[in-house]
Amino acid sequence: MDIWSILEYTASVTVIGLLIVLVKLVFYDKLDARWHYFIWLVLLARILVPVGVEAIPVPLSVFGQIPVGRWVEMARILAQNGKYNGLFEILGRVYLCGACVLALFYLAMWIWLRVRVALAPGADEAVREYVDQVARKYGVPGCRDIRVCKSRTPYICGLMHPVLVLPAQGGLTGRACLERLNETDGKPPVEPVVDPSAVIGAESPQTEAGASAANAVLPGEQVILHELLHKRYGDVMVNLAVHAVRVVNWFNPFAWLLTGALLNDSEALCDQRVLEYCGEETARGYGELLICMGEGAGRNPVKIGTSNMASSYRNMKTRIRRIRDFRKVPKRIGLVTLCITLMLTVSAIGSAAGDMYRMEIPGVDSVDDLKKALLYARCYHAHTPYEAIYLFLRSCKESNTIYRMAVMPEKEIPRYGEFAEKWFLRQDITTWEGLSRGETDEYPAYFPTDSQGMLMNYRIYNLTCDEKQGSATVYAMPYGQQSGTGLEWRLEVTREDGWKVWLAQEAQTEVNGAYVPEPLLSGSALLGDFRIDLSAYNEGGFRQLEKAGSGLNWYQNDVIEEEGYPQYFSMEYKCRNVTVSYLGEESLEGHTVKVLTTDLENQDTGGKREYSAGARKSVGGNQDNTGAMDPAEYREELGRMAGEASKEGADAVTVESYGQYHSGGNASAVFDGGELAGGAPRLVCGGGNGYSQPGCCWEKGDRTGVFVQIYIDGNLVEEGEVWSGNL
Amino acid sequence: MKYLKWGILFTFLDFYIGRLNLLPAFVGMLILYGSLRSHEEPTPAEGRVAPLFLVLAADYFLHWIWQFENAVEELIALAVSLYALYVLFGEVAERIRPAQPDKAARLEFLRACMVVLQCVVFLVSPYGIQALNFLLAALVIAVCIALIVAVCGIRTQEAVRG
Repeated sequence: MDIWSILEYTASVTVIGLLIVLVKLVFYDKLDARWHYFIWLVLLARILVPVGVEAIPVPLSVFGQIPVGRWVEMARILAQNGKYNGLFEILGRVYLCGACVLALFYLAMWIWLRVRVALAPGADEAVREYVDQVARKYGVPGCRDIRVCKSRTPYICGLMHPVLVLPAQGGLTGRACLERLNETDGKPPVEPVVDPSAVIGAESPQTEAGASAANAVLPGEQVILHELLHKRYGDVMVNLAVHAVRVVNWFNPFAWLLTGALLNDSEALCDQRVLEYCGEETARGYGELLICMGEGAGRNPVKIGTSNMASSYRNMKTRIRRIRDFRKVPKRIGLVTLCITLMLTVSAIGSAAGDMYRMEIPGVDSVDDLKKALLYARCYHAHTPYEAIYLFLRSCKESNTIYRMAVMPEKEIPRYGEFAEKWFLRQDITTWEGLSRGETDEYPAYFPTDSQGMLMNYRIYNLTCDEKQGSATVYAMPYGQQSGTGLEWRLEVTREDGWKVWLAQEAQTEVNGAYVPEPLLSGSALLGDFRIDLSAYNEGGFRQLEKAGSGLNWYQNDVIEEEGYPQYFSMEYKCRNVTVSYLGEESLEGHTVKVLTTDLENQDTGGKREYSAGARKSVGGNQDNTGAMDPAEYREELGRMAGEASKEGADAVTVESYGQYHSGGNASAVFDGGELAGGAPRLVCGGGNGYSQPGCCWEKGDRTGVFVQIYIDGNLVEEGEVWSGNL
Repeated sequence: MKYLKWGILFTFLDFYIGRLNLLPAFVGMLILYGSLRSHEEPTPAEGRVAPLFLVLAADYFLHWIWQFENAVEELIALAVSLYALYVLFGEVAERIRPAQPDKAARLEFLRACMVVLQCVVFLVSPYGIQALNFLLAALVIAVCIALIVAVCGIRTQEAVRG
């Protein structure tokens, strides 16, 4: 039994329960019993929504402020580090045994009660008639099965076939209580219903007050009505649910207190319902009736599967106050109470909105501080693979071991902890490779080599993942540089508790012009002597990493206030290139070769704006119209293009288009025949659209295609389709 | 009534010069508390809701002098402020209903709109749907202005008698 999950669950239930109690205290005498009962729906929502499931984003999350999950996880990690795993496993078994014992105890109690009730004699005709009369008088459903059993007070028992159990002796109210009522009211004595066999209301009694007895609210009526209302509103189910919660949280005293309060509020609501039926003028009498029933009761424990009108005297105080405040709450308060309850419910089960995701890392002055900071980081879970890669890149940029810990795979954590401590102590070295120099390479590549930290800019290519794992390629190059030497890293992302990142491969690359990664989708086709290659890839970036970072301040004395970490790329580009190569032997020198492409998947562009070849010139790109296109050149113009970019389509998506396209998904390039000699690929068109929301770019399994027409000196010589396949 | 108008002004409007808010909400709460206490015969609901305005004033004052964030405290303050303002406007409507039933009905409608909008903003804002957020912000401003106008349009007892 995973005791940690149970602890987290019971802690979250306790936190929400205490919040509800706090809110109820604030609105103690300002809202009626109905609200005080239904506010417990917030706790119900928390009980039903599994812990760890991030349901919905909210601006104010209780668990964003009181991160019980993180605290429990820290405790778990500390227990693991302290080698107390065995102890907590034993505690898990103890918990399970306790829950089973309590469940069996409740089951036995319930069975015993049902047997006792089943064996109890049925009420006689007079009592049935009396109960039916009460039910008819107030328009509530009656009860078919009425038993008489030894009990202090009446109660409803059973869920599927409810039974009204009446006390076998002592009357419904007790003669002494009734006499006090009569004296208090100053009214002539009314024929008391002390004997269930007496028929009240069916005929006029002979006393002077008897003429009004038939219509009077007799003490017994309210008691019967109370139980019938419990039956009508299914409060027995609530009772069973409360006991189930107690079984699961048997070791938590707060759970017992909270559920007790809930049951009390259930009774208070039923009291209010009785007064709504009987009238406000009966409130005093009803209150005194309750006091009588509770007096001398001592402990009157709640029986499982029943209603309990006379809970112990201590709990009567709240109920009497609610009776006193009957009809004193403001009118038409339902709307605001509903809104308050809804907001509390959402806050109880929701998670802090994405812009609140951040770590609060304490400053580090010593190894102990470092261990504490690493523990904090370890308990932070990256919510998306994008966030995980961001944290990884940020750790590279700032040479920050703490961010790296947040996305370190679980199996590497112990070793990485040693590594981080060693690096902290070795203030004489500035790069982590220095730890291994002169020693055996004992640490894997937690950080890339040759990373220049804050001087690098990062582009992330082809981030693809499913529910469990994925991969991406990162290209890092010195800030401000567009071509030359860069670093290519292959990252693997996996989902454990949060997303983790591992550096699988790294290489130095030399590029002339812009870096183009290995395509996600590619395809080629031979059209006569021409080969058409089609490739597609995604490119993303984080705006937060594009500034030069403050890389050397690993450790600060003050708490580092962080902005929320990005959950997705600031912008992700869906890029596609089409190139042509001439493989023929015949020279095309002196001829003009024009290649026309038509996008086969985007016949209907859906309103995306495309840029014509003419417009490309106005961008300030190459004027030679040879078709040699540098996608990076267009990216630099995005600031202007973004203003012109189409906002049609998905409202939440910012589309930035660039590329040599005509409207309707067409593109063309014109070459001098001599340029195509040698068979080197020449770019026909390249570019794509940028999106600020995920899910809009290429995915594995996508298909893209173009229809190509090749003209030589204006004559169509070749045409055909080129489709991509998966890598 | 004048307390009420000023109280609403301070509560719903913010006017910043630099980082200083010249219309702090805690002053609005204190004024509204004064408004409730100024009645010769306060209703039971008014009597019960008045202390909430003092609590809110204290809370807003703390936020005014000391910037801190606490989700639980903000949640409870939001619930209390929604309830307190709702009841306040309801009681004002009840008081003016015999003489000015149309204004009372308008006030009740606007208070319901205010509460519903606050709830919708709370539920929807984390999704970051800009168009919707903009629309909700515009509606909230419109309702606040309408409330101020409605309260200002209430004729006092003296004016009614006159």
